[in-house]
Amino acid sequence: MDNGASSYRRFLDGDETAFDLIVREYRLPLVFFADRYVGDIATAEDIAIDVFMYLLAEPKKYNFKVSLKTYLFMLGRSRAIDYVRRRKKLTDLDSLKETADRNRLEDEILADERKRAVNEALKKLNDDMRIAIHLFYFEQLSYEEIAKVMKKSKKQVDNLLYRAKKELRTILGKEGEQLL
Amino acid sequence: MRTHEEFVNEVYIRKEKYIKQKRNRRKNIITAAVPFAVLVVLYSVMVLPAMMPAGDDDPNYEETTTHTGYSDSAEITQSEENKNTTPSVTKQPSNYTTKIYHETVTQPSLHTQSQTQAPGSTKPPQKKPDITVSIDKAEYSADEKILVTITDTANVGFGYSKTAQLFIATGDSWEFIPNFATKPAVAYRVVAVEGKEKAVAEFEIDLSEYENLKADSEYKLVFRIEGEDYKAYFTLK
Repeated sequence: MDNGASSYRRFLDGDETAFDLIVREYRLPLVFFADRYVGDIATAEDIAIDVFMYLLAEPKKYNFKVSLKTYLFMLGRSRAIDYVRRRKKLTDLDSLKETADRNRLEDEILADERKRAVNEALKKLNDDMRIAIHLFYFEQLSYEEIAKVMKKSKKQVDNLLYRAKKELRTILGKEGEQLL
Repeated sequence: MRTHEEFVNEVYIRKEKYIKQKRNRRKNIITAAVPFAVLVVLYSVMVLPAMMPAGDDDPNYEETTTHTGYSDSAEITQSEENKNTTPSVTKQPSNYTTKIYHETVTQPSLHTQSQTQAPGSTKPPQKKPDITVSIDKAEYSADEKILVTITDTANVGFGYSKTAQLFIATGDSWEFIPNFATKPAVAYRVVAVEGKEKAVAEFEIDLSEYENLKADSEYKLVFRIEGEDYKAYFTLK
């Protein structure tokens, strides 16, 4: 599996449906991932749109050295971090809508009870651990790919995941042993 | 949350906006850069050459520098004495001319570059002069012109000030001939000699302009350039 690179090659060759395919495949994972940083589904979706827009407008920036999925998550991470840095505290008028959207997204992504339980436990971890576990557990990225997305070394990711799993086990209790 | 179609549509709309913004940004940069580039070019063409030290082709500069061969005190004395009379230094006793010669030729530090330069002026630092001065012949008749060539390989392109003085051999000493001036350089060009750039200045001295020159006499031309003296000898037929 090339994680979307072949679809992207077809898109560069002029196949319009290939881009649609890429969006269909990575839209929700990207929104879910961005949400880990921004904690707001609408903003996360906005970030995902920006990522795909950039992919479309600057096709030559992607050099195929990493998988397309990793590249999209790298773009998503940098945009999410930018957003978090300049975020201003605003009155949350859309909180009800936000909750509904989150439930719908979680329903789509977290199909089984096992993932749902891990997702709940993840909210108690710190940012780095949460992101690392998310990429490893929900997106099935390799240690190397996680390191590229998070701009950390493979060793750092290894340590981060080890500590995160340890904490998750504590949070989830005996049931967690089976989940992880 | 948006549906897939809405999401893709939004991506395409934003892409158009992004490309438009990118084009505008590029246009703005060019709009800002062009006047700046024009200013830089104008500055380098018009202002920088004016800031360079005046060369030999500046008539005012020539006027002020041709007479700096005198010592300061001698020049003041002469000006005061000659206010109401015809200036004639040849009438001065020979020890006076010898004194002038001594001051102007053998003590070049009297008029070094630092003294002639105005205080606070920002003349660019120059390399040590590598100047040669030559004249085209060793013998001239009274109606001929002397072609003087000055070459410099150190301060190519900067130009330099020069003071020319003429002396006639009288017995064991040289007698100074006053009011001697050279015309500004007729040509100032830079040529490449053996791969090294070389500045060449040429100018003429019209001997017919000087009535008090004596035939069958030996003359010495002294050029003071950048505080250093350069000599050339010739005989008048």
